[in-house]
Order: sequence, then structure tokens, then C-alpha cells
Amino acid sequence: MSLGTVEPATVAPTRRDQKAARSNDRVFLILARLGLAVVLVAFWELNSGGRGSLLPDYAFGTPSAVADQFVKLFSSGEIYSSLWSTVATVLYATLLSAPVGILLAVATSVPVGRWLLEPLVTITYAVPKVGLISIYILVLGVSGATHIALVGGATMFLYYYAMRQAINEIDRRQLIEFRLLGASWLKVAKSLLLRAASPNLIGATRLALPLGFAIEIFAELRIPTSSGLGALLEHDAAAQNTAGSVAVMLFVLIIGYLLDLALGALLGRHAKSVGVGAIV
Amino acid sequence: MKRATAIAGTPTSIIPKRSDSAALAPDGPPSVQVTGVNFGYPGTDVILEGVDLTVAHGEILVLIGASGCGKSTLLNLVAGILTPTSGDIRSCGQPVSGLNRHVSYMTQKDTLLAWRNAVDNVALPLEIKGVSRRERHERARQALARVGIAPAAVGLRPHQLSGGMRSRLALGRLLLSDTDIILMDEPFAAVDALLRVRLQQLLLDVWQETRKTIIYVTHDLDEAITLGHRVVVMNRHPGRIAHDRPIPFPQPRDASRFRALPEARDIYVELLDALEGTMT
Repeated sequence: MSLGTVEPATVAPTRRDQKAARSNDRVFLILARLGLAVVLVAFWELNSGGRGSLLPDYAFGTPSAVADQFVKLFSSGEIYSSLWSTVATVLYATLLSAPVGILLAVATSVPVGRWLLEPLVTITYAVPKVGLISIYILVLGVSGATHIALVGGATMFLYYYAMRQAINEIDRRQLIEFRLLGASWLKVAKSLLLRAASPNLIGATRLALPLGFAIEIFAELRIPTSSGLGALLEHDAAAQNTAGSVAVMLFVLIIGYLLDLALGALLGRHAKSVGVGAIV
Repeated sequence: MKRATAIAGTPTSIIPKRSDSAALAPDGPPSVQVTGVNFGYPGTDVILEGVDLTVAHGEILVLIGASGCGKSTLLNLVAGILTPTSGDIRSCGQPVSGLNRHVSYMTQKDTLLAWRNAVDNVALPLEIKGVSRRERHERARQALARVGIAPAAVGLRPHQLSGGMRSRLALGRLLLSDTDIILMDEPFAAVDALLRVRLQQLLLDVWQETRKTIIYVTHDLDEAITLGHRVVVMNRHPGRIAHDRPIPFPQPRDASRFRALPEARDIYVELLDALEGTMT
């Protein structure tokens, strides 16, 4: 380099530049996903039709018919009560099962609890949960309690195993420090165990809600009921309204996707806040 | 006990007042008394054998010895994390049975909570004691200032801090712990040489203010001579006290200069010989 020339300085990107770049990436991602959806719908529309077509309309409907049913579901208001019925059951069941799973995990983390409860939990976990539907009906009758028991019985294990995993991963030195500082077990549970377990529990919720939806819709199909997304599906299937059934399923799919997105964002935020995780 | 005057600019309110039960007269019982202690895990070799050690109130005792000689085990026994196979350990005159609430513990790998910022991490001992949020935050900020954490960093989480800052944070937490004894297991081993000297000086300054008893484990002879009122060399296989050397120079010492004094060099050579003697 001669003395008279000045090399161009390398300018580090500012925070605003980085934010703008991230925003551009996000817009690109959304557009790419929308584009893919458009391609899939176009493929579906072009290949739907009567017998012999790749996607027969008696099995899949056609995008235009499904869209028509989708609009009808909302304009008639039918979807809201059904959705609420299913969502409420899943939420009640999850709210009840999560503490039970967490408490069971805490109880089995000490020798006596492990000796007494772990075999019971392991055996009941092996039982196919939806296979218990008849027993629940016999015990609880055809009622909301049966639905809650069925969903909660399945989701409880997700919280149990998530919490067990979290307890196994607790930094023992942190636990000792809490106790040396004079913390009660309640304080340890609240400020250390639950807090350290929060990513595991969010992850469990991410699995529990879609599983809960699937089981509840199955229950609504099996147990005679007039409300819920399962009942709506059953009604459309009985009326041979394939497009209506697909519209309901599409709606369930969207709800599941949005829930997963929200809980995934929560997990991502947590990972970022504590400086862990490899997903960039 | 007469408390030393705080260093200029140091907020004295951060120094916890001793509880009445823990207040010791200069001629009271020693902070730690280990008598005839043996320890070994079932089915393994004996780790400690016939260990006798007395640590006076307000003394800085440094333990050195080859890896595996039982230094950390001895700290764990004093903390009540481990129970001796035989022998007696007393802390402030009381037998250690279960976790020893007279001690705070600081190790090379800190126990900071990843989901808490610097202030909330440092304030943990006060939070456990039930101090109001406002007061504990105020005192934690003062402690952070005392250990040299800039105000701009008080809202940062551990993963956003350097190793040295994390060590300072851990020291800040010790400042707010209302315990008579501090156990330190190679707390500054992972930081660079210059920072280590600064942290040693900070520790000596903090000791000057609080006059707490410190049992300090290190592999660094210079560090041992700089910090300790006494340096104890341990044998290995099994761990025993091999050499007990008082360091007859007043505290606080200048951490960056003291080690270079001819008298300190003589002690260095003596301790090195003692250490080599434990390896044969």
C-alpha cells in the first residue's frame, strides 16, 4: 500500500442493520411458505375430481369446496361453540394433568417415592391410553369428566417425564447452595426446580396440546356428543360432506400449527435469554 | 469482634450483620474443628485418614496438595455435604450434622442461575432470608459495585458475562451471605493471571471488611502464600495433613507484590519441598 492511498475501512453492521436483515429473512421465509402453500393447493385443485383422479373429491374434496365450507363454518358461527368445547376440555385436562405429572416426578425423585410410585407409573404408562375409554365411560359415565380423564391420563405422562428429566439435570451444586443458604424445600422447588424445568415443561406442553386435541377429537368421535370439533367431523362424515370434514381438519391443523408456533417462540425466547440452544 | 473499617468508598451497609447465635468472641470456639476424621466411599480406598485441623475464627486457611488428596472432600465434609466415616467435625462449636448452615461455598464452576440477571443472582441469599425486593436489590447493587461490576452490567445474565465477571458476581453473593465461614474450592482457577491477582486482592479486601473465616483450596503456591494466614499441605492415598505452615505477615497483603518478597520466596520453596515430599 502506498502512503497516499487510504484503504476502505470495513464497517461492522450496526444493530439496526442486523435487525433489518433479520426482518428481511423473516419476510422471505413467510413468502416462501405461502408460495409452497399456493403450489400445494394448486396441485390439489388440478388433480382433484371424480374416480380415477389422483386426489378424488369424495376422499379429499376440492380446494374451492373446502374453502366454501370453511367460510360457512365461520359465517354460521358453528365453529366457535365446537372449538370452545374441544379447547376447554383439552385445557382443563392439561391444567389438571400437568401438576399431577410434576408432583409425581418430584415424589419419585426421592428414594421412598421412587420405590413406591415408579413401578405404578411405569406400568400405567405402558397401557394404551385411548384403550381405556370404555373403562372411563363405565366409571365416569358419558360426561365431560370422561373426556378430561382420557386426555389428562395421556398428557400427564408427558409432564411426568419432562419433569423427571429436568430433575435429573439439575445442577447439584446449585441445589446444595440453596439449602446452605437456608432455603426451604418449597423455595427450592419454586425458585430452582420449576424454573430450571421450565424449558422441559414448555416442551412438554408443546407435545401435550396437540396430543390432547387428537385424543379429545377421537373421544368426541367415539362418545356420542353434540359438541366439539370431533362431533362436527362426525356430522359432516355422516352427511357425506367430505369438503366439510376436510375444512374442520384444516382448521384443527391451523390451530395446532399456531399453538406450536407460539410455544416454539416461547422456548426460543427462553433459550436466547439463558444463552443456550443451537437453532439459529 | 471489632469490625475493620471499610475501605474508602465501600458501602458498609452491604456487610451482613452477624446473627447473635453466630457472634463469636475472639476466644470463643474455633470456626472449624476437625478431629480424627476418616472418610471413604463404600467399596473404595480411604480418601481421608486421621485428619485433625483447627481453623480459628477469622482465619484464612489455605489447603494445598496433589490432585486427589482429598482437599475438596474435606471442604464437602465441613459443609456437611458428606458425612465422615468416623471422627468429629464441629463448626462454631456445634457438631456438623447435615448441611452446615454456617458456611457459604464457592467453587471454580460458579452456581449462578442462568435465568437471573446479575442483581437477582447476587441478591439470592437475601431473597431466601425474606428481605423485601427493594431492599435486597439495593444491597445487591451495592455488593456488585463493591466487587467491581459496572452499573451497566447489573442487568446482564450470566452467559453475557466473562469468566472474571462471573467470579466477581459469585463473590458479591458471598458478601450478602450471612455466614461465618466461606469455603472456596479453586474459585479463581479458570481466570487469567492478571485477573486472578485482582480477584485475590478483592478477596483480601473483603476479608479485611468482614473478617470471615475462609478455607481456601488451591493448586497455586503463590496464591496460597498471598492469601493464607496458614497453609496446610495434604498427603494423598490416603489424605492426611502433612505440613502446617503459618504465614507470619500481616493482612491485608498486596496480592500483586507480596509473592515477590524474599521472605515469601523462602516460604514458597519450603512449601514446594513439602509438596514434593507428599508425592514420594
